[in-house]
Parts: sequence; C-alpha cells; structure tokens
Amino acid sequence: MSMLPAAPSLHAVPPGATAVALPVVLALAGLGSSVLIGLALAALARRRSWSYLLVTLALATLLARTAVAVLTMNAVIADETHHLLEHGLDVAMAALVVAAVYTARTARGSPPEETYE
Amino acid sequence: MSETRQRIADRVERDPGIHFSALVRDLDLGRGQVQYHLRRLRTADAVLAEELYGRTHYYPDAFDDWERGALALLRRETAREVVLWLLANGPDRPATVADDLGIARSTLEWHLDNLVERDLVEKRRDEGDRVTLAATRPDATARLLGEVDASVPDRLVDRFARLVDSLLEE
Repeated sequence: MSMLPAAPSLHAVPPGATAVALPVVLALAGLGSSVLIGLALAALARRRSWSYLLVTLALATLLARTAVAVLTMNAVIADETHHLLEHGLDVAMAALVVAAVYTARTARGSPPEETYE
Repeated sequence: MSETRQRIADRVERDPGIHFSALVRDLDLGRGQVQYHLRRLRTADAVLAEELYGRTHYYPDAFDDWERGALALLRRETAREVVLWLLANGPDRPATVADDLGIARSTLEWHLDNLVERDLVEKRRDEGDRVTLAATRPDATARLLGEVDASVPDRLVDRFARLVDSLLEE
C-alpha cells in the first residue's frame, strides 16, 4: 500500500566526487579514532579508574561508527540496519560520557584526605 | 662486547630509565635482538632493569634506588612540571600548584601519589592540618632533570590524561 515513491537510499555510495571523498574521510576517521583509542588505553593502563574505562569505551564507539560505515559501503550491512546501528552508537557514546563524568564526580565526592583551600 | 650490545649499553647510559620499546625503536633493532643483549648485559650487571608503574625501565648500574625511581617519574611531562615548579617556587599548597600549572586537582593528586611514593616530593601538614608540597631532595632532583626527557608517546598520553581529567572535573 505504498503511496509514496520509494525513498532514495541514504548513505549509499553517491556518484562523482563524493564517491572518492567518502572512503578518504572514512580512512581518516578510522585512523584518528584508532589513535585516540590507543591514547585512551595507555592512559587507562596508568590510571586504572572506572572513569577512564568509560572514556575509552566512549572513544571505541567512534571507531565502531567508522567500521559500520565501511561495512555498509561494502554491502555487508543493509542501509536500514546501518542507520539503526549508527544512531544506536550515538546513544551509547552519550551514555558512556555521562557515566564517565558521573563516576568521576562521585569518586571525588568522598572527602579526600587533604582539603584544597 | 659485540658492537650491538655496546650500542645498547651506550644508549641506556645516555638515557637512563629508557623503556624497552624506545630502545628497539631508536636503535632500529629487532625486539628479539634487544631482548637477548639486554639479558646478557643484566647478567653482567652492566644494566639494571626495574619495573615501575607498569613499564620496565633500563638503567646503567650507577644509579641507586631513589635515582631510578626519580628517573622513571621525571620522564612524565606533568610530573616534571610539578617538580620543576616546586624547585623554582619552593614549597606551597597543592591548590596553588595545580592552578598555576593549569591542571586539574585529580591530575596533580595522581602524579603526587607516585612522586611521594618515590620520595621526590613530600606532603607536610601544618598545625591547621593543611598540606604543603615540597621537593625532598632539590639538588639531586635538579641534577636528574637534566638526564631525561619525556618521549613523544609519553607526552601524548600525559596530555590526553590531563585533558580527560579537566573535562571530567568541570
């Protein structure tokens, strides 16, 4: 009972210059998020706190987004599923960042041995 | 001593407290090679290995316990800044140090934990139970500061942690 014309597939690889730009952007995004995750893991190894773990996971969702985009471009993931995944990862990232801040503040809430006056 | 082994020994001498991966990278040798030669150097007591804060550091045998700990910590950019500040400005309160250096309190506290543990900095309490930070051995520390520098990967991790700390605090 479809009254509307079929919507064009969003995020499918577009023709022309964008077809070249998209893989480049994805490559940069993948590289950038990998570097960030590397830093986060190194910092986590030093600090060993819940907050740092949550920050690392939040950055992992960035990498996951790029992975999802690449898989969609290669038709491993369907377009419709791709949307759900990308925005689901957005939710996850926001939740993880909020959790990281909350954990940090709560941990500090317990009185430290010295007072900062 | 073979030429490779000598290169490794010299590099450790020049950069006391160097990490294994830095040795491999800077000398452009295979990991297995470096491992082998380090083992021989350690058996000959020419080089000392010490694991501190999750990494193994290599030292020429001339450094004592305190110096080895100091060298490991002085490789961290923020820890260096804290120590330098105290050497330059004398003992002061943690809040002052943190604000002056532009770092979060949690960053300072974390570095202080290590610095106090290795006896580079001490926390003195006055009658009002307030804390003052002071360098424990100013002359020796000043000398060691010249011996090491923070590597680029160390700096990046250090700065990343500073950023995360300040974001989580505000």
